Amino acid sequence: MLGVLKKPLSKMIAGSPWVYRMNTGSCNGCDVELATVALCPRYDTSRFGVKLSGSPKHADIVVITGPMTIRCKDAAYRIFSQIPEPKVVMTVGNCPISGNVFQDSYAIDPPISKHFPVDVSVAGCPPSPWAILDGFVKCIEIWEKRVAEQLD
Amino acid sequence: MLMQVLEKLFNLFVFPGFLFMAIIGLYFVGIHRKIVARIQRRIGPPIDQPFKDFAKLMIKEDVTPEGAAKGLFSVAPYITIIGVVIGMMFIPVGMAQAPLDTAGAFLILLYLITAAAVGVMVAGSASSSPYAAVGVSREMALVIAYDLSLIIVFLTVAIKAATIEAVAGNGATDLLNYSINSIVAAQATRPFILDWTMIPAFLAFLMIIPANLGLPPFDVVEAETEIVEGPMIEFSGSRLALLQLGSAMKAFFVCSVIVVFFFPGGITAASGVLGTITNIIWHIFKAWLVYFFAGTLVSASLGRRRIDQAVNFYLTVPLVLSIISLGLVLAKIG
Amino acid sequence: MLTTLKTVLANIAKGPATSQYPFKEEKVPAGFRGKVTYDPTKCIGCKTCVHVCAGKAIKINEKEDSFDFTIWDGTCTRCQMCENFCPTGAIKVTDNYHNAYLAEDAYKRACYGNIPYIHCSECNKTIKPLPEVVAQEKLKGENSAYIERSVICPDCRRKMMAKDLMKGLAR
Repeated sequence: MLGVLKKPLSKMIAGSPWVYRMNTGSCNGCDVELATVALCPRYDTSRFGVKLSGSPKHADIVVITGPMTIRCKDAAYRIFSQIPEPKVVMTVGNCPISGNVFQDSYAIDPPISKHFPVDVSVAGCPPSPWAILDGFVKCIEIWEKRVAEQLD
Repeated sequence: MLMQVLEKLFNLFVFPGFLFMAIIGLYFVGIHRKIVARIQRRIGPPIDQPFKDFAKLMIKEDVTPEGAAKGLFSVAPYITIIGVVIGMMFIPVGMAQAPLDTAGAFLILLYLITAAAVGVMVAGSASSSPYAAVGVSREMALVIAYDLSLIIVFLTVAIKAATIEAVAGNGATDLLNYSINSIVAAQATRPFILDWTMIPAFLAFLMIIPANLGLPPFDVVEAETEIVEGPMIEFSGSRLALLQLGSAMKAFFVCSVIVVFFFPGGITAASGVLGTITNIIWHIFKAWLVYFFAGTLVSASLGRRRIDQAVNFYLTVPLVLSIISLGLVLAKIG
Repeated sequence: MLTTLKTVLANIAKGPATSQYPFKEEKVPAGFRGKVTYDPTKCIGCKTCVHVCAGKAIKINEKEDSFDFTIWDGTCTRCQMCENFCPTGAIKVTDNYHNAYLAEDAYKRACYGNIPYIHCSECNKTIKPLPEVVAQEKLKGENSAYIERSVICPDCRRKMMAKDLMKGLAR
């Protein structure tokens, strides 16, 4: 690649991460907080260029909530394989980290880092919108690094 | 001979062809998103966000589904772009004469506007996904509904231009040939928008814009949460970038058509470089005004309509308005 | 239609309602439950918190000459039961909402404390120490006897008190 154009080009590309949300059996508390962060005017994420995309094939940042329930493992693997590279994976909530209050249940298979490579995790049950915004900002920094690597 | 070929190529690829339309179209979309965000009391993305989206999509990996029709899947994103660029060749942007202009050119414009919508349909059909099939069937119903009013509006404008030219009787019979030139020349004394018989046709054309460009309240084709982005669901990477670029260029093209049909004309009569550039900027500003009133303001304040409500609307209100205009023009009133 | 236009113009005039986070710190409401902190000098190792923790995030691990106390932040539901039931106030819930971690810091998100045992002055067995806060605040008034005997294990203390009793009875 043209060496001198790489830095401004990678900065321009990093200004447009699109988000796809995947729910692997969560109680919806974290999804409600995500809807507040991504859509409401109060915590506007579109000033960073983030757009909620409807299809997994348009996604750059994958947001996963919920412990991996056994019933949806197949579907989750299939959807995750359709997300094109380069991508950044973020988990929201306590359930993807350890299963939280559902730890010894027969129906779940935590943690998510066992199934997918996770980059950023936001703890809390549910995490407050500011913590999720923090997570988005960290994800965008990692996304910039991955884009710069891809341009090589 | 070589100079003419080079000039036509310049017109096709740079101005007012591919490059010019791409840049202006993407800026239109960026300004639209910023204004919608301010109306909804949030900060919104920066104005050059569509350029960043385009650059990002070009470096993403291409994921092609197994059951998709291979050849059509690769070719489909180019249909809209080619149709719109060729259509722009017929429109005089700040210059006295368009690069291509023939008799009956308004029919070619009508065909190309519909061909751009067919591009989305072909793209949706080429991907083997039930969500895309639902999106394609909705788009077909919508296009059939608004095409009727569109045809009547085009006919009204062309017949009015020919009537004015025949009455003026300035002996130049070559302006009676229903070309874009004749439509522009007929408005030399008074643009059609100031003519009370043509205002219903203008309103009907403005109402068609949201459905044509995929904006609320008639963006049911790309309903994000309902059918997972409709026809564009299986596209990723560079093909998605071209599809979105085509949609942005179509916005500028359709707004330019409205400007040429209802209020063309430059702002200065100077013919040097400065005069030409001023006329071009004036044309872009008029096209943006149309996009602002019919696209941005309407889309920020109204919610999405269902497909049956949308088809119902298009088969009643714009149809009646355009038939009123056609009747007044045919009866030679005003 | 007129109300729509009025709302649109009023919204443009009022300006964005977006909060300035993450460029400026956000004020949290009172009573907000964030991360949990732990003070090892006040812990008596009673394990009530382990019993009431909703997400099983607290673990007390008794080793040979100390005991480990861990709260895993990735499992803590922030329900505040541990602060409610802790008899000495060793666990406190703060309003720290910065919860986003990178993958390489996965094991830094724990609250860890190690309380070493002290040895009995008579028989050298290991016993849990008496925290300052218990001696001063919980056992108010006559606490000199407790402080004297806090370095003696329960068995030796029983023997000593039996001897005192016999001495008193024999008089």
